[in-house]
Amino acid sequence: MSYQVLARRWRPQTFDEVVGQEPVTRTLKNALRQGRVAHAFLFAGPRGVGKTTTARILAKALNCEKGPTPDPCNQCPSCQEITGGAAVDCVEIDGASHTGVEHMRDLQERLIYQPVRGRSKVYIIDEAHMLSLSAFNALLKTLEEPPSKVFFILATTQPHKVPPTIHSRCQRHEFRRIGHGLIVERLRAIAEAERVEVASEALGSVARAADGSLRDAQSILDQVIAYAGERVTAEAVAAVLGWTAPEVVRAAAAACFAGDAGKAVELVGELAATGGDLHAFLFDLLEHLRSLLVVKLTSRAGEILGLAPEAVQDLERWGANVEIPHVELALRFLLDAEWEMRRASQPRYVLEVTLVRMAEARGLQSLGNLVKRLESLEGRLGAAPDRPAPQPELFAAQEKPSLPERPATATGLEGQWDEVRRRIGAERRSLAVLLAEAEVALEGETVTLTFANGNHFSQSTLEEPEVRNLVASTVSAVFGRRLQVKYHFLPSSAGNREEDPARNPRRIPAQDHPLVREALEIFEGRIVEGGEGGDVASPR
Amino acid sequence: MGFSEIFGQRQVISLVGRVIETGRLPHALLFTGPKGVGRSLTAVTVAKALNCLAGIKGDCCDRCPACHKIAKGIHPDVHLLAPEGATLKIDQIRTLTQEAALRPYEGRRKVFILDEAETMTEQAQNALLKTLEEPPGATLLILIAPEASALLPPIASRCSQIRFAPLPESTIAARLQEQGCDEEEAHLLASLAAGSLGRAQELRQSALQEIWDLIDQAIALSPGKTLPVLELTERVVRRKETLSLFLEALLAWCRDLMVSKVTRHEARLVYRRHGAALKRQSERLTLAQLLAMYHTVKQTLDGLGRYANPRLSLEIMFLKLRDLQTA
Repeated sequence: MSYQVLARRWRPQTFDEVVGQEPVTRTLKNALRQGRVAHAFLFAGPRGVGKTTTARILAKALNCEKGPTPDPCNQCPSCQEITGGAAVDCVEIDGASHTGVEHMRDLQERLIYQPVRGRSKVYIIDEAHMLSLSAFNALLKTLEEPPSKVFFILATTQPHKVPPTIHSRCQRHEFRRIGHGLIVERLRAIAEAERVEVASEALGSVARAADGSLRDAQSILDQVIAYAGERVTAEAVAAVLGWTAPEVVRAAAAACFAGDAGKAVELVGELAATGGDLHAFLFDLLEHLRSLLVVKLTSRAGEILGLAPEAVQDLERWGANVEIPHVELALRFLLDAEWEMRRASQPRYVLEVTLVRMAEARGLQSLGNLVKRLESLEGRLGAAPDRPAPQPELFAAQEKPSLPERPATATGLEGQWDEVRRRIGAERRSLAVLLAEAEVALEGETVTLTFANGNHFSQSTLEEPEVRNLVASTVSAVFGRRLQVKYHFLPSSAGNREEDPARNPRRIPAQDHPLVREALEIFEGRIVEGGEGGDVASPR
Repeated sequence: MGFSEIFGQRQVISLVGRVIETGRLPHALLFTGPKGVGRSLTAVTVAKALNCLAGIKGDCCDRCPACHKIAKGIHPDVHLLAPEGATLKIDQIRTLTQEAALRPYEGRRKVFILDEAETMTEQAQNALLKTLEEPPGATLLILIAPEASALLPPIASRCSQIRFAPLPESTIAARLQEQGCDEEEAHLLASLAAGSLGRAQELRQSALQEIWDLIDQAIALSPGKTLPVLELTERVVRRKETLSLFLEALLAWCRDLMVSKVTRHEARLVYRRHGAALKRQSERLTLAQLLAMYHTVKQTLDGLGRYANPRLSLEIMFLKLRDLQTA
């Protein structure tokens, strides 16, 4: 007889043995106790958390000789037949290979027959998400009002593929991913019963790799036992899972945070030379940085990561000098790389380039650092700490005439006008852009703004009373006296658009342009049209 | 061919040998790893070891009728499924399910080997789930895929995954030298093969010399001139078969430039022979430029994988590379 894997051998046979699905099992047990069992169920949840197992236990509970009971005896012929998969009254249908409407019709024809041995007939449709739409529809009437003594259990990993009309006819139970601690506990019990010595860290590693699925955990444990024999260590688990030695992962991360791209590339090189799994390495690096991030963000890191307090402290010490934004950036690079590595013909290059980029990114100052440096700079300049941005005086000092009362000269006017625009820009950015096009003139108590290319938009915007007030008050404030502001809009003319080529020294005749010359050379051509008057940038 | 003759996978072989010997072989195995590192060969050998008539513990004799039949693919209890066209189809899986329900005809265990399992359609994968979880009787399923994430999670979760590591470069190089390569060529092929002996041997068959010539020209593209770019493109595009190989070799060159910028160790270079030239070129350029060059080639390679126009893509790539080098 061939070997039965742990996941099959240790498949729970009672509700109490099902791990980590307390809300579901409790509901079902109470329903059985009170005789309020629904006739149709939908079990949804990720792989390997107990959907099919619970469905079978429910079938047993309904058909047990001592029942309907919340605790099937597992002794009577009915229970044993269901466990062995030979029961006539518990039909397990593989929804993925019986997807068609004809399969469902077939099933319905057989519904009218009474149960052969037990009290009820239970139909378990596994992988229900693969049924075709017509198959689902064919099932609707039956699912709503099945013949008495018939129960349906649909199990699926992808409930969103099941139509809402099915959902509404079923009692839906959500199966959750199983917590780290619960998996470890269960694995420990199995290891004991199998008479295998498994180290605590090894169990932790297996549980971490299983990512919330008990079946995955059992598969891995199976493999590890096969690999290591009677005594399983954390190293054996790492070897089976293809994990990179933690020192190497830490060295690579440290090199990146220290900006030592050479070291990082060197480590990848060593790994490749010894046949290390680069994908696995990337995942290890990701996990390491993620743990670091969690440790830095919360004091409950041990719980979240499923790590021992010493390991958390160790990680804290290791990453004491690393700043959160850097970790974040590194994680983002690695996540991109993960996706890219899958498709790349040379995953190694992707990894190398990513690490080099991570090391380079260290050169970018973090925001916190920059703020600190800015503050110390301010302190040295002796500026009051509550002062906002640099004061206008600092800027305009050179252009401002030494005597403030002196009437504005040409340069003084320019400087003050710049200041006006800067202040207005701080309030309304778009206005400053509009005002940049204006030519300014100061005559007596009136400032005239001339817009050479005044379009309708700028005119209507500037003439809004609110805007008028803002401009006028700012001008008065900057010039230090009350001034009137007048707008002058010149109609836009074609002449303004078409620039005089003579005025623009950067424009050159077409035949002199390097591209054109090269094209002539390559194609051995000659200029047919354009010639003398041609102008590269002018529209034709 | 027993387990001992599988090349370079000592850890996997000892694991598989031990589970067979101790009778702890699970009913579903998933062999992951790159192509050309011995996954199918190991799968077939497992089938032999399970059905061998000589009764060697945990291995096969390779001489008995059963071993011969399996090697030829005519053993009634060992089935090799490969994609029909581009994918493994649901009908193939349905046939498998029916076949798996029967007892072995003459061997001890029925073995189904699904090569390139990642090509299974979604329907096919779902149809396999029930059989994969609890196959009837003495059936063993071996799935072969590049990695577990290439399959639906419920599939991967039902299998014991056995990881085939990429072969160390030195191992591949040594093997190539045994087969008559000189040392430099062996190193070059081994680095380009990304850990796959199969790929290294494929590469060896192709017209590499021409590719090196083209790469030399690509690197020597001088600033300002466009005509040489067009000529080079023409020459590369004309050789359709070696187009992607050329780009990969060029990518390796760009990668080498980056590596020689950040480290002094020449041992890590693909083009060890050109270490000095690489160093010179990389010193003239900034790291940002080198990364941009790498990405330009990478993008072109990706684009061609999505049926971009080769001539246009290459022209643009060469122009960009030329400008990047002179910027």
